[in-house]
Amino acid sequence: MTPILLLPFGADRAADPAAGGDPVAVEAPPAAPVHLPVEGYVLEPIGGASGVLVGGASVVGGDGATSAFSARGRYRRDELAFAVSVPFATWRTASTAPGEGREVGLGNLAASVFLSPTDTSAVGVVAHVPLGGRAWTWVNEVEELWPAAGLDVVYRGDREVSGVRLLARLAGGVHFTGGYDPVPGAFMKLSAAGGVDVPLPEGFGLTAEGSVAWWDTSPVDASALARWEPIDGLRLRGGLLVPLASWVGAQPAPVPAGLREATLRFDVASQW
Amino acid sequence: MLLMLTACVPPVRQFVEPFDGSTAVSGREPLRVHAEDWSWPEGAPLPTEVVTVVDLTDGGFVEGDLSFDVDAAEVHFGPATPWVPGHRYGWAVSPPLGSTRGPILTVPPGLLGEASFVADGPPTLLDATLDGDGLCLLFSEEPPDALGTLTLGDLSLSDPLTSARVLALPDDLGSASVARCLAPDDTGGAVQLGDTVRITADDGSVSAAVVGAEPLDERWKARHRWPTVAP
Repeated sequence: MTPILLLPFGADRAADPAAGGDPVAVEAPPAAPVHLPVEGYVLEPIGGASGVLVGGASVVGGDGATSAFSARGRYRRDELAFAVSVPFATWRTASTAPGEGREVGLGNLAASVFLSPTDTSAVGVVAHVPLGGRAWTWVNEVEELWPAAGLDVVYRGDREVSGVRLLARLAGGVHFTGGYDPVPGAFMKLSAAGGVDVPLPEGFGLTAEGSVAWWDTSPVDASALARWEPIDGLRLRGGLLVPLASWVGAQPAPVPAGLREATLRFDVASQW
Repeated sequence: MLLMLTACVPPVRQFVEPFDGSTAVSGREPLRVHAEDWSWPEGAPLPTEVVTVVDLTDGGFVEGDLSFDVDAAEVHFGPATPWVPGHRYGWAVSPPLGSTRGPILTVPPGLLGEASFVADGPPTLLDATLDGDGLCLLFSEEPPDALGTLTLGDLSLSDPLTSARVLALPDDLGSASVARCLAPDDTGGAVQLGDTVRITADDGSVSAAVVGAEPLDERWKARHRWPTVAP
């Protein structure tokens, strides 16, 4: 049986090669866009493909002047996803002596492995390993920069409701540091985070996130990230994180309450 | 029982060196502030305001390097240039203004305060206390036996320290030999609280102290800001 060919632009009969007609090209339906998996500030991605991310966070305001930049590589194979990220930071010190007001240093390497039996949930572990840097500071999560070794067990779960993605994260772990105030020498960290991701037309989207954690230097955070995926496999994001607990003075460092800081965040990610 | 146990707890070991009124500082000898259990990341810059030094003779701040000795658990201020002999310096230990995103150095309240010293100065009398019927004297540095003349009311003693005994003080601060006690036989047993003791050195300089009741080692510790009771 001669296959029936779909003819575009008003053609009303199939060309029959036996009758000497030319075959007509068929325009394949457009491929569905490949979006990078949704992720937030602490909310790790679920699923997706291998890729890289480079980004930064800069604390602005009177209590700011710390900036951290990181690069992350992620490898996905079947249900497993491995990721490694390395941050480095520049921050303002307490010294006003010439040449001592600002320092630069490496933070802690973060290595994770997640198992995603479905596209909506994942469990994994995240390990932090000091790299010998002396980044005695933090942006919002103390284990990112402050020299510390630790291990966290993480559960991530997503759910889509009416085109909006609900995100959740639970984590618990233990960390060990040098014991210099205000960070304890050893502490447990329990955290919970939730978020909402809203995809928008033309590759845009918004992710709002809130988290609580203790022990942490910024116990309650809220953030909003806007993203744009101009082409398949490439994403740009930018947004703001506000440390709500710090604003009311509920943080380990001895700072007065007030709207004294916020964190600007940005990153570029790609997957293939 | 709890009160008894609390009373047995030794005071926290903390001090400043040199002690207030010292005349034994020379060269580029650092100023030291020690607090038990202090810790600070190695190499991390210290809050500059923790130790400030001024030259009281010429005026102006003294430039120097503030560092943390990890092994000794001490903050050190090392002057950029040697202390000028004969100059009086004032120095203050102040609480850090607060590092919002970094290590925090908690300075015990007992260490906060001001003190002064004279670089390479002559020994001077700082304190005097009753020791039974005798007299104990605290000097700004280890005094020579041939110190000059001591006057106390009608009493006048030449080179009074020749037969004085050294009052034992904790010997790990480098100023353990600054106290001397005169026996009642030397003072004639005439010392009373409130009397003024004067030392006139051979160069004519005079230093004086009023006889008090507080034990001399307590006065010495107070000049070091070394607590004498458990916090």
